[in-house]
Amino acid sequence: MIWSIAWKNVWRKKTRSIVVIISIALGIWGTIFTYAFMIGWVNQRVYAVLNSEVSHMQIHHPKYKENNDMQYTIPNGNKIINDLGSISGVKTYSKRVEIGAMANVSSKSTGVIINGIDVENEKQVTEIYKNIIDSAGTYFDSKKSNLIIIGDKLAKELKLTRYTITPELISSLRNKKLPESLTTKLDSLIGINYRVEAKFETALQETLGEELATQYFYLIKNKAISYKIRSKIILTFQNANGELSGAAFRLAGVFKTSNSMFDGMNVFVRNSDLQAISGFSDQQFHEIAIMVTNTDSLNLIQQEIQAKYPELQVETWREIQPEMALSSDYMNISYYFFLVIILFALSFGIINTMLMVVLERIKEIGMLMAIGMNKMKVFLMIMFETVYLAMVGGFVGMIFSALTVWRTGQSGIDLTAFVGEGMEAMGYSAYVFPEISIDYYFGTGIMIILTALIAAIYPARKALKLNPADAIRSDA
Amino acid sequence: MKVIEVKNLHKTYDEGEVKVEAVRGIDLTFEQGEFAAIVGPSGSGKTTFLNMLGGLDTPTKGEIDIDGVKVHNMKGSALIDFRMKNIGFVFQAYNLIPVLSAKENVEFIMRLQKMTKIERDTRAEELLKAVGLGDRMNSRPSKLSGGQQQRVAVARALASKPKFILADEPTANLDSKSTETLLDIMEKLNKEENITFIFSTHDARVVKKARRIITVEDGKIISDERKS
Ligand SMILES: Nc1ncnc2c1ncn2[C@@H]1O[C@H](COP(=O)(O)OP(=O)(O)O)[C@@H](O)[C@H]1O
Ligand SMILES: [Mg+2]
Repeated sequence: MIWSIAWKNVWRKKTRSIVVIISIALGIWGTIFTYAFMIGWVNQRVYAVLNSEVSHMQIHHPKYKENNDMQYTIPNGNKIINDLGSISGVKTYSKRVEIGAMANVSSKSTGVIINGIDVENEKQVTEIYKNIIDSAGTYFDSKKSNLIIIGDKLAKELKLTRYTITPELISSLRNKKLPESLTTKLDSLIGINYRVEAKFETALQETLGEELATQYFYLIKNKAISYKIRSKIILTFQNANGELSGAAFRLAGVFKTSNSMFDGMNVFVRNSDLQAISGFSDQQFHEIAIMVTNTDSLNLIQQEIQAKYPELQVETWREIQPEMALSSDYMNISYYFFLVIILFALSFGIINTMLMVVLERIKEIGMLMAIGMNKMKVFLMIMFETVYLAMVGGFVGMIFSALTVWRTGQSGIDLTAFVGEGMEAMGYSAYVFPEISIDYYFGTGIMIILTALIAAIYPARKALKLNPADAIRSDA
Repeated sequence: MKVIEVKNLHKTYDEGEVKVEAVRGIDLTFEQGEFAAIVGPSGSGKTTFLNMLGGLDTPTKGEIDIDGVKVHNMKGSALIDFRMKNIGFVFQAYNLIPVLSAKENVEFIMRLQKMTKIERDTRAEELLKAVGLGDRMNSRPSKLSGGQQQRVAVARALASKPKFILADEPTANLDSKSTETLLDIMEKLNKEENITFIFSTHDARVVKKARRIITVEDGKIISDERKS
């Protein structure tokens, strides 16, 4: 009975209640959506760390990582490779030779890390092969020797790119419902090749005008770009014996991950090709990357391998990328910290509203107490009313959050136009797919109810202090 | 049969420097089935006296005995409980819960008393018919006239089967037509069901209907007349 009266009381001053409800809903929506955005972002980064960059675990010679001295290959590497298969929980693994080198294309040159890999094993461990850009070659599909895979960033640095407006590009822009004024103007650029991004941008600005060009540059650029597959890239480095060595490789494919720094640094060649020039034998390599079946047992597997090879450095991705692990782990705590601040602010609105409620109803509450409603029930009535108000606001906010998170989680939020290259330079994707687990909703719901209960105490106590005789007499 | 016995009742409001002696030495008894009016000018102490009778306010001095229970000694939830079970209240205004219908308002007090649903339903309907609102049972107070609201309040006061009903200026906000209807209903309930009504007023038309007229001035009884 008390709870149903309290519910009806919520709707007595509709406008006022709705204002409170909307403010709570907005606070909750803002909190959940912001975090869904950040969680989605961090999770994508973690995914990239695990599946393109670091893998779950890596084994090195303990001195190798001090300054990537390539003398420190893993002792008895092949024996370890043979043993890993029998360790339970280890899913896949791949060995790599890593050599610092200069990459040259005609006049351009830049420093890179050559990753000498076993293609089939590598595919089991990293997803670089899935990140080959459309119509930018393949991941060692050809049987030819001395093939090389490089990242999009490096391809641009080495000027292995070309920007061309094609009729297909224009019709695909038309399909995207871009303004007709834009697509017709672009016609004049059909067939012209631009080797450098900056020149292409200038050309676009001249034809489209400043405004359209800035707005659509990123989109058009990503469609106009093509890579000079089969170009020759010369790699020069010191071999295992300290002598200068090198060879020409043919560009087989270009990949793009969400981490442009990674894309700018790493090139992949077949280990068998590298051996011929590096001076390293089949037995010598620097790194073993491991994926496990279940990440929950990651630490146990690490301990097992470490115990077996005490002389080696066995690290999980958390140790290799500690800042990444930290931001992932602290998401939860920081969410509740943020939520508490938001709820604290909202609680003032709730307290204020409920104080007004008590003040407005002094006579009514006096009457209720006079006819026999005890203090407990009066207290509960105000409590219920507050909790309902907060719960409705919370519920609306959470429904709205769930819808927006779901919707943007499907389509992704495209930040390319704003921060694209900046984010990618830091390893974060410019497409964010917000996500948040259901636990957050439960936790938030509980926090809202707690806030309401705490906020209700002061107004409810005010109601309790009323003396029925005075309350009825009062002229309020 | 004696229902209420009041002995040497005093109430002094202590407002710091000024002390207001609102009631100073009232001795009275009420019998079952009385229809009594407390009459007096504004500020004479009527409300203060009725509040003490109803256990809403505690006397500074004196005794109130209701059917053998010393009400002046009661406190807290025991007092609230006693009020709920023994006394029906009708106030000048703000008698009803705005979010409940007439019938739900009458039922409310029976719910507090934990009566069964069937009991509540039949009694609420019966009482609302008795006050002439059989056709307005599902209306909320805001949809009723002032007179109708006071009649619902009378029905609500009766719902708990109290020993008596206290009504502090029940007609103060009503026009003469509604005043008459309300008093006729109260009179009828008094005659037919032997319900005890004690009400305050300073309206001459209301006074005329009373069978006992207690006149107070400055917190004291100056006359107590019974009509036959
Ligand atoms: N809570 C209170 N504090 C101080 N004085 C009060 C209080 N309630 C009533 N009084 C005073 O007591 C006197 C009697 O008031 P009241 O019982 O309301 O008279 P009536 O109902 O006959 O108009 C008045 O002088 C009034 O001002
Ligand atoms: Mg009065």
